[in-house]
Amino acid sequence: MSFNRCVRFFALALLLVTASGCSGLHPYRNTLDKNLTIRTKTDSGSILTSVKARVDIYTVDESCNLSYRGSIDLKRPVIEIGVPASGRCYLNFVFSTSTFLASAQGATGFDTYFKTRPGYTYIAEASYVDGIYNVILKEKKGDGGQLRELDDWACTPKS
Amino acid sequence: MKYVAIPLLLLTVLVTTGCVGKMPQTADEFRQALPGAFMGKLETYEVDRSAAEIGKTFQKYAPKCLDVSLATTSQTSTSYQHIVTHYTPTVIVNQSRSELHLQEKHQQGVVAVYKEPAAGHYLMVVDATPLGPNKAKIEFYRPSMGFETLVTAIKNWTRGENLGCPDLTK
Repeated sequence: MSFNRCVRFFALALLLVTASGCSGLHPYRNTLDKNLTIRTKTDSGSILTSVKARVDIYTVDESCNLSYRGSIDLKRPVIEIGVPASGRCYLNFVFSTSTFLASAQGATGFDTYFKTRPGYTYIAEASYVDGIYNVILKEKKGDGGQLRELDDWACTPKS
Repeated sequence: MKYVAIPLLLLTVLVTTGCVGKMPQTADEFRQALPGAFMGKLETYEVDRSAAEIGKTFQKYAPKCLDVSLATTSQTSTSYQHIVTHYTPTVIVNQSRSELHLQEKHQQGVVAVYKEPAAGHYLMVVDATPLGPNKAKIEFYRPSMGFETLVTAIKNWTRGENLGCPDLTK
């Protein structure tokens, strides 16, 4: 490899690292059967402030240890994703606000654990409206089952 | 003489404005001190929900939404300020009323001049007292300015509508 190609390679690598923000986040490989629908509603309440929503997806083992699987930007009102059909999941919803002119930024999160079961589908309703945010998680058996709101469940790693 | 007079004047101003004194160490002391305090407000209203239901909402949302740490950074060409604050909610539910207390402790960037309770100074106290099977009186002890999103979220919890967490970064 010539010197110039070497320089170009490292410059490209540097650009990619910089562009990705060095955050450690990466896109979720959404390859499993779709069993989780995320409905997102965002409204900052001000034309000068924008809100972006993202969900970080983790699987949870029997000892409550988390394994990061990836993130999805919630740019569309409805997004279908697939999570393991039998197991434990941890979703961390992040709402990021940025204000033009004042150059102020903020991020706040809402996390939730849930257990998935084969044959069930899940709906997460994530909202950020005028500074109030919430995530409601529901499950449904099959296609015709009734939606049931899931209770909060916490999993503390055993160390 | 004027070197004595100036500190005396400052001391007098501080005492008369209530800046010298004891910081409330309990929710009861906060309730008593707040209505007459500078920038303090007692807001009273009624809601069509039972105090027990309001207590359940406090129990569901307060730990999730308010037991948080918040870091803020502000920077100008001449100053830099980094403040870390931890909020601690306490919910008490019994037959006589449902209560929500919120304490604020600055962990970095702000010096506590007076002795604070272990979880920080009291920021807000909300009492829901039964007025009937589906009616309650809310007494909301809070700052008169600022914290609009937090105040809105807690009022929503008392009314049982538009439930959610306040974005404390706003």
